[in-house]
Order: sequence, then C-alpha cells, then structure tokens
Amino acid sequence: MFARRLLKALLCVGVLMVASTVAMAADDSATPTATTLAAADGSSPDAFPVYAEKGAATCLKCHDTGAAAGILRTAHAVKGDSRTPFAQHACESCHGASPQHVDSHPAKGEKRASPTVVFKGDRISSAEARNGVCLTCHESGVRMNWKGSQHSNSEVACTDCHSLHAEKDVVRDKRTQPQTCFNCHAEQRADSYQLSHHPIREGKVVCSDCHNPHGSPAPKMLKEVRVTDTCYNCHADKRGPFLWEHQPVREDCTYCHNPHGSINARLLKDKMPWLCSDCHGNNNMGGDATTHSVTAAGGAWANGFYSRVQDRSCTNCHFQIHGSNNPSGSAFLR
Amino acid sequence: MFTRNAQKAALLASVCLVPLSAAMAGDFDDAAPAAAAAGTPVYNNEVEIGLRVQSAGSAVFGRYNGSPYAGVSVLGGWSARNRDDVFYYQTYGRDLDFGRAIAPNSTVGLKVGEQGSWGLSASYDAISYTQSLDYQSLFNSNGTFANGGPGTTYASAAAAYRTLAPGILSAVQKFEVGTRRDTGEVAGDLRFNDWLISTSFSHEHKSGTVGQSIDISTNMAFLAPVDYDTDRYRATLAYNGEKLQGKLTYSLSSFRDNLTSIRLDSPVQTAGVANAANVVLPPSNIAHNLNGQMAYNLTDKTRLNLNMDYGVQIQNAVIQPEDWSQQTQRFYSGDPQTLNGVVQTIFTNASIVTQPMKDVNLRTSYTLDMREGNRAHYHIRQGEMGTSAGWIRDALTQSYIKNTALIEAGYRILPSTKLTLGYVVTDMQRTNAQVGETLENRATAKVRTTAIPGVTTSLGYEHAVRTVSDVDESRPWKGLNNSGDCQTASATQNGTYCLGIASYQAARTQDVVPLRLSTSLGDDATLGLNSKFTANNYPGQTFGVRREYMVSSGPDVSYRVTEGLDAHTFYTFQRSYRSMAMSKGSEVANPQTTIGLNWSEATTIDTSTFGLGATWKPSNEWKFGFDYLFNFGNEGVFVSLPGKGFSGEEWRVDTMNNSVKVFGEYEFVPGASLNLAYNYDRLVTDDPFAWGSPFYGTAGTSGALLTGQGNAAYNVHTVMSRVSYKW
Repeated sequence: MFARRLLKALLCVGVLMVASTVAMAADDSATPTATTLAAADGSSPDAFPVYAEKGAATCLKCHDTGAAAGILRTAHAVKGDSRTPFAQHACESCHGASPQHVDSHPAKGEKRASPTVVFKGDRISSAEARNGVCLTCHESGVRMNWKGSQHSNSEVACTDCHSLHAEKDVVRDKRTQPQTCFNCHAEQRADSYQLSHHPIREGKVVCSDCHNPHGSPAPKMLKEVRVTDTCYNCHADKRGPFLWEHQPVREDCTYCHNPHGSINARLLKDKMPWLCSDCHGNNNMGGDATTHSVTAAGGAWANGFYSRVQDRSCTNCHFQIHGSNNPSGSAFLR
Repeated sequence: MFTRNAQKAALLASVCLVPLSAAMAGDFDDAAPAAAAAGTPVYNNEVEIGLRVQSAGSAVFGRYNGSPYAGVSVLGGWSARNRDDVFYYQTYGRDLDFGRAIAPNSTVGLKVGEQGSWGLSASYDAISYTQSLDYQSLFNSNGTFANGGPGTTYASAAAAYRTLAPGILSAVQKFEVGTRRDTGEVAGDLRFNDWLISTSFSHEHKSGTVGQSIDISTNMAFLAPVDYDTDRYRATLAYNGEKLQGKLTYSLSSFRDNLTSIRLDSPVQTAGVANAANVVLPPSNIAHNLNGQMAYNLTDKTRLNLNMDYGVQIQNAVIQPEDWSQQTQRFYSGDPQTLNGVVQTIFTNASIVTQPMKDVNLRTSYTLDMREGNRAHYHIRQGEMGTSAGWIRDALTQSYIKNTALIEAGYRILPSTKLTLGYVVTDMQRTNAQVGETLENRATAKVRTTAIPGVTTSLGYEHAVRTVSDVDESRPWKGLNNSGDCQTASATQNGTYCLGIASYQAARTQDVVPLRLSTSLGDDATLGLNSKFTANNYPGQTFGVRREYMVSSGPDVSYRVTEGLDAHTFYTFQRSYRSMAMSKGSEVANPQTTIGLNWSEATTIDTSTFGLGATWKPSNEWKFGFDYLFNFGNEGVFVSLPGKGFSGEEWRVDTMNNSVKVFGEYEFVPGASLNLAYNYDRLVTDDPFAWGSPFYGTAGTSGALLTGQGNAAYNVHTVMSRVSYKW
C-alpha cells in the first residue's frame, strides 16, 4: 500500500519539478521593486520610479529623530552590503520612489502626500503591498512558504511583528518574542500562564523554537514537517523507535499534550484517567475486578478515588507510556 | 497598531519568576530606538549586577529558573555589540549566578561576522527543571534501597495487591528531583552571490532524575536517572535567486543514554516469585533527516512550492533482560539480541499559489505524510519466570500514511472585505489499528473586513466530517479494550461498535468558529477581541468520547493614559468540556467498585487569565512599572451511574495563581541605573491529580505505596535589586 502511494506521490512531485524547471528557463522577468509592487497594488500610478537624488539625506531632513532614524543602526542601513536597502535607494528602497511626498508643499493644516508604500498610520498600504517590499529580498530560507500561509492569508504584514526601524527587533529576542505573538494568539498566551507550561515566560523556550511564523507545509506552521519531529528536537529520548510502541504517541504528541500550557500536570490536555479513557474507555475505567477500578477500595463511588488513580494516575503503573524497550513492556509497565 | 501592542504587551513579560534577565527584559532593547534620536547618547554595551532575595523555597515556583530555594543570590550579566559597516560583533551573558560555579540558567553567547559574507556564533545555554524538592521514595536513583531498605519482606496471599506493613514507611526518603540541560553550540555561515552555506553543531548533556512510579506488587515512586548526551548537526545549502529559491538541509540527531536500565526490588515479596523490576531507560537512538525545499515564481502572480522531507530513525540498543516479576515477557528464542529498529518517514508537499485576476487568490496543495516501521514484528511470550506458559503477543511497529489535499479561493468582494473559501480532504490509513482508514472532509469560510472604519474584523467557520471505514476490533491495536465481554459477544452492541473507538480515530463532526476583532479607540487606545469556539461530536460512539467543546474568548486593551504612562490589560476565559460513555459490558461482583453496566462521565475545565500592566516614565531619569497576573482554574467531573442510582458531581478542584510585581528604576548618572523590584507570587491548589500528595497504604489495606512530591502550593516574596551601567 505504502509503496504504491509513495510512487504516486513522488511521480506527482517529479512532474511538478520538471514543469517548474521548464518554466524557470522560459521566464526571467525582473524582480519587482517596492514601487512596482505598489503600482500593481493601485497605490501609485507611476511605474517608472523617480528616486530622491540625495537618497536618505533627503528623508533625514525631516525624519531625523526618534524611531524613524533608528534604522540607521540596523543591518538594513549597512551600505557595505550591496543587498541592503541603504546600498540601493535608501529609504525609498522600501517606501518606494516617492516624489509626490518629497516634492509636495501642502497648505498649512494639510498633510503632505504619502510615500508610495506606507507601513503604519491612517494611510497605511495594503498588507500585500507592504509584504511585497520585504519579499523582494526576503523570500528565501524560512520564508519560502510565506505565500499561501495562514499568516499571509490573514493579511498579516511583516511589520505587524517586526520593528524595522528599531536597532533590536523585539520579536527576535527570546525574552520578548512571545509577547508579540500573544497580541493575536490570546488563547496561547492564556495557556502559557497555566500552572503547567513550557518555560515560555521564563524566556527559555519561544514560539519560533517550534513554529515558523513565515509559513510551513507542516500543520500549525511548525518548523519541522510533523508534530512528533518538532517535539523530538528537545525530547529525543521519546523518539525511539521502541520495541513496544504506543500508537497515538507515534502519530501526534498533541493527542494528549497541550504544548502551550495546561491546568493539568505534564501539559496534559485532560486529567488521567479520563484522558486515557478517550481511547481506553470501556472495561478498564469501568472497573474490572481490581487493577483498573477508579473508586476507593472497598467503598462506593462516592467514597472517592482509588489510590492508584491519584497522583500520576494511570502512569503510576504505565509509566513507559511513550514506549518501552523492555520485552516485558507490552503494557508500558516496564 | 500591532507594533504598539507589542511594546506595551511586553510589560507583562516581566511578570515572571526568573532572575534578572527576563524580569528586566526590554530595558536595554527599548533604549535602542530612542538612542538614535538626535542628541541622545548611544549605548552599545551594558553590564549589570544584581541581588535577589527569595523568601521561601518551592519546586513549582522555581522549577524553570534554577531558584527553587529561599535565600540570597547574586546575579549578573553583560551585553556588548558593535558594528563597523559590514563588520559586526555581539556578545552577551545573562543570568550568571555568582553563587554557583555554573549557574543553572545561564546563557552566554558570541556572534561575529561580516554582513553579507560570513558569520560565526558560539553559545552556551543552561535550562534547569526542578520537579520536586522532597520527592519521597524507597529507592535511590540507582535503584538500590534508600536507608537500607525496609529490612524485611512482607508476604501476602493476594497475587496482585499485597498488604503493606507499617514498618515499610520508615525506609522512605526525601529526594530533590529535577534535570538540567547544558547545551553548547557553534554555527557558521558563508555567503557567496546568491548561495548560502550554513552549518551548526550542538552538544547537549542532560542530567538529573525524573520522578516516576512503578507497580511491583504495589505502586512505588522511584527516581529514574537521567544521563543523556545529544549531538545535533545540521548543514544547509540555500539558493536565493530572483525567481527561484531552494534549500537543502541535512540534519543528524544522535541521542545517547549513558545508562541502560536499573533494577528495583520490591519490598513486598511473595514466596516463589522474584518480585523485582527491570526498568529499561530510554534507548539510545539516531535520526538522519534530509529536507529539501524549492520555490519558483512562475509569474509575478503565481508561485510554486515543493517541499520534501525524508527521515530515518534508528534504534539498535541491546535488548535488556526481561522482567523478574509477574510482568515477565520474553522473546521467543531466536529473536535478535538488539532491536534493529528502523523507521522511515516521508513527507512531500506541493502547492501553487496564484492570483489569476485582480482581487482573486487561489491556493491548492497536496501533502503526503507517512511513517513506516521497518523492523520485524517480534513475538513475545508471557509467563512467570521459569515457566513456559503464557500467551503470545507481537511487538508491532506502527505505520501510517496520510494524504491531504487542499483548495482555497479568496475573493475581495468589496475593497474592504475579503471572503475566503476552502476545502480540505484528509485521508489517514493506519496499520494494525482499530480503524483502518479515516476520511475527513472539511469546508472553511472566512470573512475579513474593514468595512467599519477603524475596525478590523475576521470571522470564520469550519465544518468537518470524519468518517471511518475498515473497522476491525480484532486488530492488535484496538484501544486496549481487550478484556471483558465484547470480545466474546457480538461485534456490535446497540448497533454501534461495542468497544468504543479511540477518539482520535473515531467518526466525528467538528465545527469551529473563530472571531477576531481589533479597533483603535481614539489615538491613544486599542481594543482587541479574540474568540474561538470548537465543537466536536462523535455520532457513532455509544461508548467512548461522545462530545467535546472548547471556548476561548477575551479582550485585550492597550491605553496610553498620558505621555509616558502606558497601560495594558487582557482577560481570557477558556472552557473545555468533554463527555464520554463507558460500559463494563456486563455486571460483575466487584468488591472495589459499585460501577454498573453503563455509566457516563463529563469533565469541565474552566480557566480565567487576567493581566494588568503599566509603565510610567515621568522623566528621563525615572521609570516605574506595575504588573499583575491572575490565573484561576477550576476542574470538575460529573458522573452518572444509572444502574446504581448515582448521578452528581464527583469532585471539583481549584488552582489559583496571583502574581504582583512593582519596580522602579532611577538613572542616577547618564548610563548608570539602579533598579529595584518586588515580586509576590502565590499559588493555591487542592488538585491531588496534578501534583499528588504522598499517599501510603495502611496496614491491612491492599493498595499502593504512592509517594511523590506533595502539594504544589507556594507563597513566595522576591526582592530584586540591580545596578546597570551602559556605555
């Protein structure tokens, strides 16, 4: 079954690769610029850009203070690197050629015409136009799957998370990154404040340790292609393969765990024995004669839980629940 | 708006339990934009030293920060960086604890390079985890008895539950349980034209103990020793062309457990049965992975992505001896002495994103994900030591194949409003599983609009139907509902599957409604609302999980009260509800339970999380801050036993955490600051399942000797003072 389906899949991928290679040879149009992107977006009528003659100096005549000038101390402003905006058209590399902004002389009380691409404020450009500027240079590496990603489809802009004009971008600092993500992901923020959590707020684990917010073919924008592989990066002791495998464990750790945090110990989504009952609901939890009874010994239900169900509950006995390499470990008891 | 939120939200990052680093996070970074302002000094370097006084010890309070103890600690850190055109360097050290040779939470790093040409980095990072300061066990971490053991063995006629004698408790000892990771990493990259070669190597040593428990005639807590070494190597070749981008990565992860097993002797012995457990520790293993990605812009509006990942996971540790107790299972003679376990994983994905006309987006993708176990299915025989009796079981490996096809179309129906529709088909096939194949069809719809000026709203709806086929309850992996009457009775009961199907394989309908709203309230405030509702129904399940729903909702407000005074608050309510039905299959005479033929259970988990933070900067020299975090969790179980006339709430537990922090900072000379902070953190919980109070069986009671780490509650005051100097 696997071999046949794999063959089909590889054939499919192969056809696409050949098609793309042919297309590559056939078409080599120029990389879009901020200006042409904006033109396509409809925010600028001029497809033949006219850049300021004095480059950044023109802009700094007005924008020489505060956050705007902070970009001068960032990697984007390094002229020695020919790839950077400041090695090309300076501010206009990203904001687009903006003679309408530079040359305008508004009447008192009126606003100057906007630059071609605007990243914040009332006259902000579309997310597509803003992202198009960044993707001009940053479409490779971890951002290769940006287009079509959940964030892209939700019209999240690069600058919603990244601070381009700050010398240090808060989202790239482990200690402050999660707060940026939590602005939208409130559920995950609340989870991270539960009693059981990964050391996210302690600054030791951050969202981008597991997720690629720039897009991924994996579920939930994970860095690795599947959930288990992501978890094995830190929990290689769970990888196995084991002599005795626990089926759901091999498929998806999130069947049992909520990696962002939980009210239950060990990031479990539910308390044991109920969590285990999701799959082992009958006879076991129903109380076969001794071993799997949930009620207190010798008593009625109302007397409370049997001691074995407390504390680590099912894993009091089945402690090798992620897999066992002991010949006697078929029930993960050894 | 998002950026501003990020800066304000960072206030709440300081409501944390860590030493100086995260507690003071943001100070140095926040200075950067302002520093570039005309006439303001620019700081590249900083050193800090601080004093931390903690009023009480608590494993839960200090589990991640290396500070579970009461007392005084001296911490420090530095940061230095510079850039001279393309050349740059950066070095930093955080949470350096001068009271200990190697602090449990330190981070040290160095980066140097020439932008656009090459870069090198080296770092060291430590992460500690404290599970318990007083884990109670009869055993040392090497498996020997603590305190010389109970001295006597105690026999009982019962096979599985032996009587605990009173004297056994005198041998219990308290241990500190936890682990620590020390990780060193070096990395480098080299760039020429459109090509980038990067590589990294890291070595991690993890040591310590993990609290576990085992059943050897009775339940006993023990300490599983941790002595792991993990090497990770990664090499990437990437290309960044104008239209074509590609990346090929090879990675190796080698996990080595320096210990193989420990032996635990039961203090409860029965004549003729060797009651000892051979606890096999996680086996050493190795994983190779080859990952390829390619993207090509077919036109300005069409992009093709191909992703491929091939992995091999190998485990060939020597098979440890079988157990020495009634749990004994052995290989058939002739089976190998090492596992020779190999798993192959394959992932391929192809997607095309295009904008065929103005205001229309299309995306289609196909994904194959498979895992294939390639080792033999070994035959295992069960029987008491020295006997040949027993049933036979196959030690299987799991294989699955998952196909996912997606098509999505977005159309901007108004300049301000975009509608996106999608359809996803997922087919999952598993070997040896109760359900051989599941097929899920999912339809999605989302509207995102800014039709109301200043308000961005996103509302979605998803409906998914998962069906099952190829159900066979005689397969090896059948949810382990493998004892009782269903196996001998008819295959179905009440027209459905008798045993109940594992929830993640069962037929299911799912409805999801996400809502997101954000708006500006004037020039100085923003309001956000994030909500999500998910409902799962399992229509085919007479037994097993039958219904679930999850709710998450709450507002988020940022407000600039006055110039220099910013406030941020949020609240999130979450509810998780799940109900299931169970069956014993038939009534039994059971002295330990009154559970009848059929019964049902429902769990409701409610949590509320509230945060409030503010910073006030009345002048360039002074800065004050306040943070408060509240988290309350409530979990209840409702049980219904129609056959026994019992229906009601079986138990309810609460967990509540309050954390308050105030801090002030004064820059007494340019670049030199004094920071004083106070943090009060309190946790109360009555949850015996979460953290487990020690439990001992009493004489004459057949049962368990569960120990553990005790109640998680804590009440901790922390005062931190820091002096920093920037230049």
